[in-house]
Amino acid sequence: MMDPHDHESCRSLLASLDALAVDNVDEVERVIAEHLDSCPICAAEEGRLGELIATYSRTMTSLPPGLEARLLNRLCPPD
Amino acid sequence: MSKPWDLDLAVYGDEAALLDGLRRKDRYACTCMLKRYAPRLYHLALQLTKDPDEAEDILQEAIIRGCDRIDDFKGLSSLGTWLHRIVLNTALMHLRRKKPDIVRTEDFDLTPADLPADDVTPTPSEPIRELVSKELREEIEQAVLDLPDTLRTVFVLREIEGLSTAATASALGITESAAKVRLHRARLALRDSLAAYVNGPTDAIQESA
Repeated sequence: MMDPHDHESCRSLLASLDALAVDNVDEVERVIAEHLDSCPICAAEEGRLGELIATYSRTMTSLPPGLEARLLNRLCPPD
Repeated sequence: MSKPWDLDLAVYGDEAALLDGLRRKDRYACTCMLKRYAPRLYHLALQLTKDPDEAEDILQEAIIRGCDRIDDFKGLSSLGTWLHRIVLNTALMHLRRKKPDIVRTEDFDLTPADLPADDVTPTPSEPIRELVSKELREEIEQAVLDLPDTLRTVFVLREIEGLSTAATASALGITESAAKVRLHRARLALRDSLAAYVNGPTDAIQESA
């Protein structure tokens, strides 16, 4: 069974990111990648979150009731 | 007589025919365009603003603008991507007006090149798919809406809309490093709020669909 993960090392990573120069994009990327390489639980969770979000983004959605008719009436006012 | 909202989307399955109908302001063509694109565009506006009334205003403003300028559409991208860009720019304009600390620049005119080339809007030829359960979808949507504004805007533009880090940073008027750090913070927050799915076995997502 997977050990519970308290994200402690992830949270200290965030503190270190805040301390980085704000325009140092390569360094931000390197620090995050280094952490994910050394933390298999974070890496696995990141992978699952990515999968979840990608699936969510491709899922059909619907409009609130009545909105389609309101939009249509603005686009093509009924005679 | 059938009502426009009962329209079979296959009537305007061909984009050229749909464009022709939109140029003539044909009510069925407008209905078809709304059915095909409006739901996803509405949710994009909602995720950026977190306000259903404002999301409706943005969608209305953007779609009317798009239809008024339909002759400017040159077919360099799909109609869906073109409408998408108009909604994104309109939403950023609204955010800039309402929350200038979130959108710190007025120079956010996203170009077609800023958006991913592949249009993920389902077409009539595709079967309507429910890829995740309604309950899971609502949970994810709420988790995204619960993110603080600074994190949510970066997350939506970068992860859901697929903009590059550079385009996301430019749209919000922040540095690329700041965009990356905010994105990482957003992902960490979502890992907490969606722990039931993210911490479980990999097939938890499929099982819940």
